[in-house]
Amino acid sequence: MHFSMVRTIFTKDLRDAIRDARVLVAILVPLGIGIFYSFIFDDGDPTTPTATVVYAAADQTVLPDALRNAIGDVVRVELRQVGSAAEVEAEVRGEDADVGFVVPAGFDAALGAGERPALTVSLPDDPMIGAQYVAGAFEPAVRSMAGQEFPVDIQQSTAVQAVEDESVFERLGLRTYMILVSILFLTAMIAMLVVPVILAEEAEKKTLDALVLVASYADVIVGKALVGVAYIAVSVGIMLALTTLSIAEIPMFIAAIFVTAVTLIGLGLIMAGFFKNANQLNTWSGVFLIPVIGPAFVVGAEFGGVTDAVLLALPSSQAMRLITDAASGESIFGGSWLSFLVIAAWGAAAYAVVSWQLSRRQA
Amino acid sequence: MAQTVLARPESDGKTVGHGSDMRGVTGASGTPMIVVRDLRKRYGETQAVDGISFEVAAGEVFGLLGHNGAGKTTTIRMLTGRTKPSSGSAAIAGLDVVSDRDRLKPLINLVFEDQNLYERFSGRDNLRIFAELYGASSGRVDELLTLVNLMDGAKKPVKTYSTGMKQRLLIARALVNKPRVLFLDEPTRGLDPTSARDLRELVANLSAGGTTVFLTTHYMEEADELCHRVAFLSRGTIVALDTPRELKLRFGERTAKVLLRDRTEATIRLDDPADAERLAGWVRADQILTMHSQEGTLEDVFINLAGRPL
Repeated sequence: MHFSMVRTIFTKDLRDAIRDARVLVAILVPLGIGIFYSFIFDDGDPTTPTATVVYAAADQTVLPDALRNAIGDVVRVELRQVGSAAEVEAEVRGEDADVGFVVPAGFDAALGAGERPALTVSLPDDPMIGAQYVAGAFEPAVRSMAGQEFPVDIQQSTAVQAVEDESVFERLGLRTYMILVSILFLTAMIAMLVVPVILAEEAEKKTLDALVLVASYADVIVGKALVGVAYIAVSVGIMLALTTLSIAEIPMFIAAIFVTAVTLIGLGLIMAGFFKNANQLNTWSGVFLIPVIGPAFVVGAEFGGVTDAVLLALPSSQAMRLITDAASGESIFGGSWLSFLVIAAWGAAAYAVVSWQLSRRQA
Repeated sequence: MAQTVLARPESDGKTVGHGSDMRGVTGASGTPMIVVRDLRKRYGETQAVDGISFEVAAGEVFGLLGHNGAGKTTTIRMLTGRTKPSSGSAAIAGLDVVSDRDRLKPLINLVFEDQNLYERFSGRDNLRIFAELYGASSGRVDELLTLVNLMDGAKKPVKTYSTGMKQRLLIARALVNKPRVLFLDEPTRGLDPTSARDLRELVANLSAGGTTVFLTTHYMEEADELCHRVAFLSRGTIVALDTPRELKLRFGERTAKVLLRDRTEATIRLDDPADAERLAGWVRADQILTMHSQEGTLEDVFINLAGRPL
């Protein structure tokens, strides 16, 4: 191999490929999807119910604080004061709030004096679980304001789910998970669409013949593979910057992306050998890309049996496991060495096929 | 149209290349630059090239003529090291095209039949890429742009070039390493007459400068004008190989075109006794106004040998 020739081919393709609309789209689409996911998904605990509560108070009252104390962290409450009872009614009717209440003048004093002041609580026709819980929390709240002991000392214990029993989505957060899937999608698109398109175009327009008059096929292949690695490095960096996703184990993340990129580029180079031109490849690449990218989306789910075994044997599933662990800094999946081994085995097989294709081309 | 390819390319005898090892390089006067011995190539059931042998001297313009599928491109692919022969051998400048391929690369170049340029790059960038690959100096790029009169359009993307401009750029690219042997695969196909004439002039200049030129073409007049020797390839074998003049004399028909007093025209085959008798009768009767003798054309020779025209 001639390193100066590899460098020339690499530099040429680095400049040329980005001017190709097909290449640009293949990079921008997964990048856009990742940014879109970062906006629409949230990493918060999706199992905690929420409730928006509005209230109107004629004078100072501690009821909102007492209510918040009574609810604790069972429901995530957004508590907001409005100007009048009519506004409270309107917000609940308009479904802008889940619960509303109106505190009359002198409510706290009356309660302290042992009187039974009126308290109006508004709920929609079909309240959500969070709203129902808030409604039920008024009694302990006002009892505490009145200085009354609750008739029963309920010892409440929470059955905390063991960390290892939590799903990947719960431990990682849905936003982070979906951005990581997008990063793998981006890597696969560059490796298995951009790189093959560059090579197929070179063969189709017969510029490859001119290149191999001076360079070897291996020089050309390595030059193009490096272009793929460079585009993946830059694009993943841009994705991380735009989504502000922080990675806990950066060296492991880089290693996982690198090994995955090199392996998928090998698969992409095989694809390039099957198609006669870049447009044909652009049309049919989805058939190859879907089985590669698909497993990355479901790696967090547990199917059991054969499906899990198949997922474990795929490079994209193992790559997703690696970057998930690297991003979280935890051993959510574990078995990193096995993951690296599976990906590397796919890479070795892919480049063996590429070598065979090259030897046939030279014959 | 302005003369485009007029400059005589330099011929300092040095080939550009990455550490080009010149051991085994021959081709000084009297020594063949290309030696082909019983070269064969089979693709599955198809025998593309079937035992061809020939030699080409240094500085010679050698033409390989034949129908589509006759084996011309396969022969060039083997000689340029892009396809391995099934059997036989070929050497250029003393270097085997298979085992010495890496050493051979700096010594040869090829003007492809297809205009295989990087269309999104400028003409200058196209040359710069190949100058880097061959290890040539950046000054070589400007030299070549001047040689093929493309300096004005050097910064424009190649996709905006005319066919003639692209062909000139292809030629410049093939000269980037100052090759000892230049292969040209149908170099004037699709060119306008002026560009074709300019290209022929460049080939003549290269040959005069000592570059060996190996040419394939469909145009018999072009081969007749340019080539010192031509070989006719038919179904993978060489059916004739000699100088165009000798081939025409050996295989062509000597004819005479006669205009008679009654304004009728006739073509007389001089080697045909019946035609000769007819001619003698016209002479005796003083019926001939004008008469022009003609030697056979390469086209005739090819039809005679291959059975059908190119």
